Amino acid sequence: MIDAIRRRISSLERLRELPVEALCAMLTFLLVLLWANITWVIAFPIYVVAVAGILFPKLRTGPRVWCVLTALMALSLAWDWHHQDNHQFVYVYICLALFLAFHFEGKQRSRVLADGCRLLVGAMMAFAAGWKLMTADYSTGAFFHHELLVHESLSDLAVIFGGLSPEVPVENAANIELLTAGYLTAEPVESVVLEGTGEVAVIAAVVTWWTVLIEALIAALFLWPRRLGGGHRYVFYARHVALIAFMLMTYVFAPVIGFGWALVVLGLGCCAVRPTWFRPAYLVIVVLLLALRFITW
Amino acid sequence: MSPEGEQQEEDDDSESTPPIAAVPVLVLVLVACVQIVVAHNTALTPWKGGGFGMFSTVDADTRRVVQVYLTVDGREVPVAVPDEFDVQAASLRPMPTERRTERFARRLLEQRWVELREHRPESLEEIEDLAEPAVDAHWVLEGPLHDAQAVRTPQAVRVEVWRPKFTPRDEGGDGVLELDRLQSVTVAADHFEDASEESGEDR
Repeated sequence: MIDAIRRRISSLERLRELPVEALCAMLTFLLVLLWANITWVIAFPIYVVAVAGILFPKLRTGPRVWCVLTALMALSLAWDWHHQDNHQFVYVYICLALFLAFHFEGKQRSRVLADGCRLLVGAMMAFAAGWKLMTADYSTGAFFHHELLVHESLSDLAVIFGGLSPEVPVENAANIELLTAGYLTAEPVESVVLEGTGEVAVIAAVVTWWTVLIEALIAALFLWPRRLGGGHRYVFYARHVALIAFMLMTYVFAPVIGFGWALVVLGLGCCAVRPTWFRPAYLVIVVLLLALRFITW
Repeated sequence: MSPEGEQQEEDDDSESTPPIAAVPVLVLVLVACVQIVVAHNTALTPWKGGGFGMFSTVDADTRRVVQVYLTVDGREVPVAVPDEFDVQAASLRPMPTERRTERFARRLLEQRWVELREHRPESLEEIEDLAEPAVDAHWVLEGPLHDAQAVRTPQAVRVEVWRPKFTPRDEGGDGVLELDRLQSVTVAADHFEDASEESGEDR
């Protein structure tokens, strides 16, 4: 009995050693196929490369494949960059990080991938926090206040915890419709009042500062240089716990699955150097993101 | 745990990583800095363009409003963006440069329009009664069943892009949502010279 349990634990232990490079490659090919917003002009070659990478294992770690994919994705992005969401840019950076990593073998490959992904997560979060802090809409709490009153998912939070009547978000949406379509009438509306409660304002303040703090914390943890202690195992644990907590809390209310998926690839990539339970944890998050997507549909 | 043990628990990647690993983040920083500059100096929404400004402002491209006015028979009438032009309107919203807005206005100017009703809604209550007030324009693009006599080509088209602005009230948790004009471009048919003007007061 005890031997059986030990064997079971031992087999679970193997999950800590999941092949990160191959998984990152596979998840990125899927990311490109499922969530990339690709200009139709060059969509065909991009899909061919991604499908080939999924079907033929030898191609997954070939630098030439990643060079081609990076170039095509960058070209697609440059085509209409001002339409593209931030995570579409992140897909290109991930392809570039994989391209560079697959130039190396063994430990060097793992290091290039891990450091590349770590710096990307840190920089993304630093810019996200920076934008929020320098935007008056955000720092005054107006952004989340507005979202709590009208956003499909966030208004649920306002209804559950903010004492907002379930009809109010619907009425607010109707008011917005009057504002935006009012110019078609003989009496255009210049402004509308979105109804809220005092508690909603408090929740808005909490969510505002929680979001910017967690982003700044993740940025600090991921950008913490190794020579200043950033390589310590506790820093490593803290990074991944913070990132996973951020993903779990953020994507319940804002299911931008493409961004979540990209963060999973980057988080997994950061685990390339050492076996860790975070490797299977990131795969579980991919499954959760997909489940969340189907629920919100 | 002994210091030796702790040392072993530390990251075993104390060897130097090839500097090439920093290339992706350098590209990210470069793109994000450019986006920040562009977003602060043009009409680019912070949500787009790779600077990670999502969820920082209500001024998302999806919340921007494109308004169209036709000048027909000497009078200016507001019209909803026709369904056929939804894609162009959506592509205008993230970064409505004068050139893009003018191109959009010119496309609308080239269309043939029909007035479907004799009267416009007189009040908000009336428009609320309609199933889809936002798309219930009185001037629509010419269709095969429309009376050819009623078809008009506009003398001018004005396209305006507005962004939302939300101000929470100090008490009560309510807030005021208003629109702030980002751009206004008029294209005239007479001599096909645009009388474009960019709104200076708002930006």
